Amino acid sequence: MKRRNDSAIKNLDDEELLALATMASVDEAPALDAQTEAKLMSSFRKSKARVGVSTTAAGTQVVELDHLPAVHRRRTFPIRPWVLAAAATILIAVGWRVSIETRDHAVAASQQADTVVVTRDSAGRLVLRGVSAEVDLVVRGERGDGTRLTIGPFRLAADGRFPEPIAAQVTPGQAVKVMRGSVDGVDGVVVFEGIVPPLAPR
Amino acid sequence: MRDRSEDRPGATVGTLLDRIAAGDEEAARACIRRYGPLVTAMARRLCPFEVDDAVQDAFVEIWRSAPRFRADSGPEHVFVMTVTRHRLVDRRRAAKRRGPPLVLADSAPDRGAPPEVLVDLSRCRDAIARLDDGPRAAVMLACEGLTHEEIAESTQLPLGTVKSHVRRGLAAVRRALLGEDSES
Repeated sequence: MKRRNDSAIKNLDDEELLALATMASVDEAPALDAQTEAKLMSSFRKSKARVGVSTTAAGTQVVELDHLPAVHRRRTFPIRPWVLAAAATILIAVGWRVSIETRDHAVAASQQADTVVVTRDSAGRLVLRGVSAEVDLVVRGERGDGTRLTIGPFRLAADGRFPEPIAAQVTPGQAVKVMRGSVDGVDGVVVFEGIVPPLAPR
Repeated sequence: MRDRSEDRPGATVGTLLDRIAAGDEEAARACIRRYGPLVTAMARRLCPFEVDDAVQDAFVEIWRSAPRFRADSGPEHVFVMTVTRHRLVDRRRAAKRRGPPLVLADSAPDRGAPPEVLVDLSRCRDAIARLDDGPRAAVMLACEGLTHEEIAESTQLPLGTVKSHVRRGLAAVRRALLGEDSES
């Protein structure tokens, strides 16, 4: 066997060695079909987007921040953190006050996303407030033992109501996470995370 | 025509993840083609009841983690596999049905990834296969995400013995990756 003098390999930690060992336990690695590749590319595009709430005359909608006008965008620069740190230090040293308007707008939009809540309407039905668009969502709940389960993908009605089959599977006081996604999977954007409200409306 | 430079063996790996971090779709596509088969194979082993979701989850985690990759800290494929394993192990732990225990395959994959990755995997597999029963079982359980304490409980071995088994197994894997096995 050819000997390698590879410092990167020498420096691998246990987790990295376990990752290699885990991968080494498979005996075949089948090629991906075009459909799977397309789905993964779709997840990549969605992962680049961030969610916020846009309130216009037409109503309030959950939107991807990257679809807002440019002034609202928070850019991700391909710059090493130490370069950013050095630049920030220099700026502070010379007393500059840097106001990054795009970041402020993006943060404000993100903070508005916190206004999305799961509550109940006057009839006691479970609703997602703060989202008016018909969006595909996935609910995940936490069991009493701390493990999680996927309760199901569903399309949120225009009035924010959860479909009955979904509402029937969650219990008051249960910790749930509502994520953007569908039967094809979730894209990682958490729309709401919290506790299912009690049956009586607040 | 699409530039397939990232698909070639030995391509500048740091560049690929850097470009993914910058939102480059072609880099993401190259990453999917390079590692998709391995990630899928791993998802079939660790999350057999939700393979599609697990693969998607793993890649979303890779997209998110790409900015943390530093080419001078280790090979790209190790980074990708570490991120993937963490995600899949998390899912396996949370799953209602965990699926069968992880066992070592009779042979390592011979396609579905760049040659240098397949070489590393083959060396790892051979190193684990050569271990005694105790260390081999401990390493496979650790691969599943079990803690030392959980492995001790599962195997009814003292905690110290389990730690020793895992340490010895991983040391053998490291030696194999470095090509030192024949000299040890």
